[in-house]
Amino acid sequence: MQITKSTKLGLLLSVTFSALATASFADPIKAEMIDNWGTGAERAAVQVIQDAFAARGGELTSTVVQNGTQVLSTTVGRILAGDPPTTNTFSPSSLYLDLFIKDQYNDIDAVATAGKWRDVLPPFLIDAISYKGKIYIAPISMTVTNWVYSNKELLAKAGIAELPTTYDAEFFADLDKLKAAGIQPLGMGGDPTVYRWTFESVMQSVGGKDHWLAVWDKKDEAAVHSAKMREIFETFKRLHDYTDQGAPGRNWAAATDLVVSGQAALTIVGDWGKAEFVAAGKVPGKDFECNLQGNPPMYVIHGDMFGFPKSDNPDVIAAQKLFAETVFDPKVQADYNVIKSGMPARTDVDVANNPAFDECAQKAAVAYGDGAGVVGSPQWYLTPDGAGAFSDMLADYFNYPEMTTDQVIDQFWTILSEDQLPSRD
Amino acid sequence: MESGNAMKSNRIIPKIAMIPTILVALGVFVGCMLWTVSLSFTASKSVPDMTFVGLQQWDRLFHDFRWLLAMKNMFIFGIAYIVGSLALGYALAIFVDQKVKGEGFFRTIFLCPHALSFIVTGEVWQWYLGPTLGLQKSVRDLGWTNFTFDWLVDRDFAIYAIAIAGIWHGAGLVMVLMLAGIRGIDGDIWNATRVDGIPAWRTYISIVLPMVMPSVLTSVALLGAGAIKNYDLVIAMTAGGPGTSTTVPSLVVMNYLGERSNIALAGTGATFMLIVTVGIAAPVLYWRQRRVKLLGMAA
Repeated sequence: MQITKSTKLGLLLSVTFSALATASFADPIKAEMIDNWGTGAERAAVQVIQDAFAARGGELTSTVVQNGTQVLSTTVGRILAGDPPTTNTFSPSSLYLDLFIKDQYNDIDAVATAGKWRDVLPPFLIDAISYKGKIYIAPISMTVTNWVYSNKELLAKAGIAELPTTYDAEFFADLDKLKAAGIQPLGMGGDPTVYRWTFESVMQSVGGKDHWLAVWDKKDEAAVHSAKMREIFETFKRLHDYTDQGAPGRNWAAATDLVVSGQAALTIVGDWGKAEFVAAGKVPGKDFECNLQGNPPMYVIHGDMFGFPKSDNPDVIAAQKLFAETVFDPKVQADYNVIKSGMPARTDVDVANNPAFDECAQKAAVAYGDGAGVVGSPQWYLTPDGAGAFSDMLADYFNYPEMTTDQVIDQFWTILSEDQLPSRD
Repeated sequence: MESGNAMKSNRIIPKIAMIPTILVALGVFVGCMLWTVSLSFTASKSVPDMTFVGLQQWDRLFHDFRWLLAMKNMFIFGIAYIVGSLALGYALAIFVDQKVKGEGFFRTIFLCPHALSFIVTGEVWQWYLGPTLGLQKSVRDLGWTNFTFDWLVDRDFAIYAIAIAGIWHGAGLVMVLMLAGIRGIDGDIWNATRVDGIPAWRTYISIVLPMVMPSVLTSVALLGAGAIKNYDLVIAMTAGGPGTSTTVPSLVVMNYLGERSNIALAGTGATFMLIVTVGIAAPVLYWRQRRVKLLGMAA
């Protein structure tokens, strides 16, 4: 037969395509993550995970929703609808405990045992990510709410060299100095989470670790009604005099921005507040100061973690396994936390000698230490219901002048004693 | 014979065409409502759990002082919002009815707020009524340094500040409904009042208003629904604050549905809101049915 040009082309193409078809291209392992990380810094941190996952032969898509509550409702909705995501973000709270009890999540104990996770995680954290002895959650980052970020320029104007790292008389004297100099001392928001982490910061610094555990872990009535608890509540309420009228209803980012832009001198927020300063080009130590409150500061953990919705599909299980391995990799943890301003969950990641971690992160590393002193936050020890009632109580106490310390301690004891958290064992 | 069959099929075909709509209405609306009501009798936490617990959730909800405050706020907001919108809307309708030049332009302007969602309305009014950014600051900057308008951050008045934003939003709708009613009045009535020497304002209040009662009732029903389910406005303006003083039932329901992981309580709250809605809508519907019977008029 006559071989025309087009026949030659056709033969060439068909040979090429059949060669491609027989070549073994492994399909990337697909995974979908539901998270609430929408800001610039947060997306960059997600990119770290996505790149690491791709390097291991996977493909990670990130579905962003607006806040932590929506992560929960979106994930639960998808689980019930039969289309669960591969993974979703968690924080160390009791929010997902009911879902573990109702068997809606897969455990990653095999990955954890193979990777010897229990050797490099603090004891409290191992409990926090386990249910019935098996590890269900992959932690990547630890954060605290115990930071005071202050605007150095405004402090200098009021003649304050350095803010004390406790909420004692000296601290309030400095706040008075700021007020006298016509500067708004405290930039504070008004939504329930703001009250909760501000109170956490006060309770950690004034009360210390033993008191914290007595109240939250042991639910000791004497500790709740003690003089120390009164001092904690009164110190918390005193902060109200140093906020401005516009505080109720303001969100935490707007409050932090007050300090960034020089309208307020300091704010109490978690590690994530630092991102607002960094985004505005401020340098720690030069433009702003970051203090961990408490002498010595406690480490009450919040943080970024991942859970794995239930599925029997072997592809999904493989994807979940790969994802868990990826986020527990030391390099991924280091890179992620440099961007997110947190501490790597693994204790064997070198922070002290890594120049990418700035001076605020170094302070946190010292407080984290080897992780032996890490404790849980109120959301860890209470049911989600109880944690909500606790936030409402703090919001009322902070804003209503006529609510007395006796009343709030009684209410607190009622919430604490009636709260029945199912066992994690 | 043939025409009889044709008539029969004329009646059957529309009914058959309605079947999908009826199924969707029954399944989605009624079915989901029954599901929510049934959840309120279970022990559900983060996922549905059909263990029957009787009235335990109802007992818990109605002993929660925040829920009682939420109900009180719903009624205060509802009354302020409905009465305010009716009054302002009627005034706007009267104004537009005066056959002013550019009537179409004014109608559009007054109806514009209603085109905005509650969340946008809430955000804007939060900036406007907030003491550090809005009205109070502007007036103080103009020189009246003692002027205070801090309703939004005052625990007793915040709910009224929210009502102000609601009235701004709802008045346009009322205006349109009232205007339609007013325009539907026979011109002879106006001639009669002129002959009798009744001033215009008196006519509007004592003669026209009773005649546009159907429009008023429709407005009340529409506004009432908005008042009961009001969530966006509160969230945008005060997030339930200061403290928890402006919490409303929908906020409580959303909290329990979301971060407090207690969908049984959320279902209980939602069922209560349904009961209140039916409690408002049913008398209105009944009144209109009676009116049709008694007066032989279109409702």
